[in-house]
Amino acid sequence: MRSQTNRVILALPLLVVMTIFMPEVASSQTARVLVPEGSFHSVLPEIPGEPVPVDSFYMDETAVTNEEFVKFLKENPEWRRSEIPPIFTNDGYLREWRSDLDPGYEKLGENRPVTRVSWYAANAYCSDQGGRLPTLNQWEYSAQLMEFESKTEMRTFSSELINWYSGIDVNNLAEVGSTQIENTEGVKDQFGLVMEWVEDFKPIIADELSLDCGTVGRMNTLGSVYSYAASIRYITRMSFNAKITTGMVGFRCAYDEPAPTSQYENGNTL
Amino acid sequence: MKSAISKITLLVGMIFFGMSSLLTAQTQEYTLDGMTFGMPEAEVYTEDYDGPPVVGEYVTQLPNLAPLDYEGNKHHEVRIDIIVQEIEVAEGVRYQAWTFGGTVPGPVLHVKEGDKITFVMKNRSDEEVTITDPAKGGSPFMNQVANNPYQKNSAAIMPMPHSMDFHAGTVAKDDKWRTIGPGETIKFDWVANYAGTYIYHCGTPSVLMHTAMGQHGVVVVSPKDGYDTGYEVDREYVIVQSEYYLTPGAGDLYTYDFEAASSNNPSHVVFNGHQTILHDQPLKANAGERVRFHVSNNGPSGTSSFHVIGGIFDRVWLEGHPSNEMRGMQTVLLGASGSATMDMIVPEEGKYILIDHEFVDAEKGATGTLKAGPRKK
Amino acid sequence: MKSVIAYTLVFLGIFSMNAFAQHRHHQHEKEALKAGEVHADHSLYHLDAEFIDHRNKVVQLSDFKGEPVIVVMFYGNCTQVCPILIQDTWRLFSSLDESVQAKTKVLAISFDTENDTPEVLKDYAKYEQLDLPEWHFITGKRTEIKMLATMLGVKYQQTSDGHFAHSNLVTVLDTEGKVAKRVEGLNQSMKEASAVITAMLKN
Repeated sequence: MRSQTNRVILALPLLVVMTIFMPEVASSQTARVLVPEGSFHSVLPEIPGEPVPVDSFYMDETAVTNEEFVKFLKENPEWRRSEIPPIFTNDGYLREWRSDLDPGYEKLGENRPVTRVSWYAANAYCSDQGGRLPTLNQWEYSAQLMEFESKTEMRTFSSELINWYSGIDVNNLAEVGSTQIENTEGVKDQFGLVMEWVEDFKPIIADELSLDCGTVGRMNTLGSVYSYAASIRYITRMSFNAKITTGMVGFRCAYDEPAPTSQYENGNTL
Repeated sequence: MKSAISKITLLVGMIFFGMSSLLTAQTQEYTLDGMTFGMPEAEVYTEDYDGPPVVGEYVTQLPNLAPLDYEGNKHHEVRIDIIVQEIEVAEGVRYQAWTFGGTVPGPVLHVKEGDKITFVMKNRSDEEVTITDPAKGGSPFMNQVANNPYQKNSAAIMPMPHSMDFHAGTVAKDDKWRTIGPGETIKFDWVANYAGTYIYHCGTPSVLMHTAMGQHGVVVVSPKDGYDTGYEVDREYVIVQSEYYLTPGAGDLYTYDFEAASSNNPSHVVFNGHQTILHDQPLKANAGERVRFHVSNNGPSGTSSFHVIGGIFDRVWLEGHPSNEMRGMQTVLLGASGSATMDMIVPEEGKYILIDHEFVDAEKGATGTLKAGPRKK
Repeated sequence: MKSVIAYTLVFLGIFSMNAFAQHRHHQHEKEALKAGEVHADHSLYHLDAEFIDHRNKVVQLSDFKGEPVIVVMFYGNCTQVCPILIQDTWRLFSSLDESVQAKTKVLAISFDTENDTPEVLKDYAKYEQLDLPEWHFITGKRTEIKMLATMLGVKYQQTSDGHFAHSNLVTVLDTEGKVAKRVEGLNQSMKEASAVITAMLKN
């Protein structure tokens, strides 16, 4: 039993990087982090027991902020609250914002993650940046690129993660980059801030998956607390539809290319 | 213009066609042994609804049970929305509960065996809903909570997907019990085919987490011909036992404790959602009266050995079904999601303690008081 | 019901003897994905995206405003199911009167944005003998194709062998771009869909 759990740790190098230094203030353009190719254990493996391979890709260091989203809305009026057609969202889109282009920063903060955006809006934002939403596997793989100093630390972290999923305080979100949780490549806050949209948030297996009392157990392929926490995340995400907007779901983008030196060279080719 | 399609593609097509025919859902209503099965498919939609979260004439706050004042069967229209509330579960212990209707446990629904229920539920976990103001068009539950908000409820937000699983219903879970996201509404019919007291709970994984966070309640289905006793009871009460798994959080509030939940180590085991409510507000009776308790152990994980100190259950119907009658029981064992209906003669004036005789649970809160006045008759 | 089962089993048997062995990597396609639910109240023409057709022409959905549109999503490397899906679409199109056909557009949209370039789609259209003026084989940006698919309720996901699991769905859009009719599954009757299109042009 013990040796098995040890193997799990090796296969899943997790480490909470408790960075002591304060997060830098988000610059006007979010940094992109190269996530190198590798593989990870999905709680929804295509082939049970096999690690899922993931090619290298770039991903935003932090989630998209209110301020960044305002910038996008300035250039893309069709995604403003008063303009967005109901085919792309439910009623709650940017509900807490004071007006179309004013989140009311004293309450929501420039550097807090934008939430209450539908999958369509998140997708459109990333498309506009020359990227896309990360795939579910890319996001999860990046999230698992963490190292822990001990099994106990990993377990504690994962338990807290489960508790966190039961009580995200959507009215008082922290700033992006402030959770002090980051992966080995420097991608920040995949845990501890908000849940995030991914391109295929409802993977095809969602249709076959029977959601019941045993689902978490069946998905707990690693037999670890981490995989328990992951299954709660997967299930929550796959229970959404593309028009849903909630106070606990934000997003970040993924890219095939590093950030352009000048953002104006960033043409949208097919 | 277009060449003929290949044989292979034709064959594959046939297979798809065959399979899709086989997968057609059964929704035709039929009766078997006098019971009704085969409800239409559930509807999931979005609606502009900001009215009372609990609607229905026969929906009450624990420990009350609405009297059934109608003959024969009735078609009920019931709404119980999912809302998030900050509640007190013991002195100084508050947390953001995921609830049906705003309290933990949720409201009590009372129907008669054979009644049909059209149930509507909106997932309002992403909006603040106040339940302590009297609401127009709500259920008796709304007024009872407004008059007696013993969990000191205040509105909160914690958007999550949720679902409803009525144990009193006999339907396909992948249809009626399906999970809906924040802002969505589900509507479905079910028939209370079996008499008894049945838990309802959220069935969205982790079901342990969702139920421990507060998403459970009971439906009391009274037998259509009553219990065969030859007497009328003087009082009826509904008592729900359940566990909380809470740990102090970063601020003033407590939060869910995964480690405790996964190791069956509750922080509180309570009756009717609050550690001291049945002492603060004892159940009332008089000496010589017959009291009927509808007791459900909603878990999520523990058992209950339900006993009343100073009393013996005269008659007990396991699960509340009139055929399951037992006599003279000191303690009734209730598994997780198990229930019983128990009649007791209140012997004399004084106090009687309702207790889970598993003392570790009793010491975590699973006790209450029945206060008996002098004999009136 | 029984006869349907027997029927299916017989064909399954033939299938496994003949074709299955040659196309083992297609095994996952046996189970088609059920299409997602959509709401018919809203026009798809709100999607303000530029796509490219097999003639290398930039097209926007709103270009087709005022005409009935038949939409099908597929991918070029799909040799088993998609040809049936395209054939189904052809069956619908060809069932229309010639005068109706002339006013109807067909959009066959690929979700394999990596491989299905306009050139590949051109070849595909020719191979299927469907390089017709009313037909557009379309590709686009991955994000926008995904959005369109989600609006249509078409589910797809790439599997590790490079193929896609996907829903089989033919959708008819009315002159405003709202979903007027959906035909799910392969080899379904196109009678109703055909009538819906014809009725649209009578008004």
